[in-house]
Amino acid sequence: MAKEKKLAPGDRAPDGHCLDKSGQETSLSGFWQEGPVLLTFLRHFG
Amino acid sequence: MELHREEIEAAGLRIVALGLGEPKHARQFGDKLAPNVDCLTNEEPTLHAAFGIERGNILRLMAPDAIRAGARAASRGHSQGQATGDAQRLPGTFIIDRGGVVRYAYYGKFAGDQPELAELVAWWRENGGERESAK
Repeated sequence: MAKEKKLAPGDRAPDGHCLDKSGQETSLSGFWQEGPVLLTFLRHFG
Repeated sequence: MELHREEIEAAGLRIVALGLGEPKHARQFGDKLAPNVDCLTNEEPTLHAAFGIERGNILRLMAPDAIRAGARAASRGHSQGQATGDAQRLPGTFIIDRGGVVRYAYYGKFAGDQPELAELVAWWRENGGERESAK
């Protein structure tokens, strides 16, 4: 199993595109640029 | 997450949840369990991997703590439906400031392993988070 590189406080957060609930493309940075974000990664929806 | 939402938002944090699946899955999940949370989705776990979130093996996904976490969720009315995405992906929680810097990182060690959100919010407040939020 490949080891992913873990982030630590002080690291720059990776940005990337994803979709919102309506299918619109958005970027994570668009959220944190408006203010601090509590970002939680879910294992899955279900 | 929804249980502590008001407390989290009062500390100046916006909650964003990123899962794996199609937008309809994020919509179904959000409408049912987190109607006031920004639910985002990816079909591929590229962002999960970029944040260093690993896949768990069966021992981590079915660990006694994972089963207890599932039972706690069930006792709050959450039920496991048909999973989308990558059910082997472990959870993770981060605070990211407006400059895009990670201020807090928590990597779930087993399925359902989340930080204690009340403690996380207290930590954020003690470490100047509200000043950051007010900028």
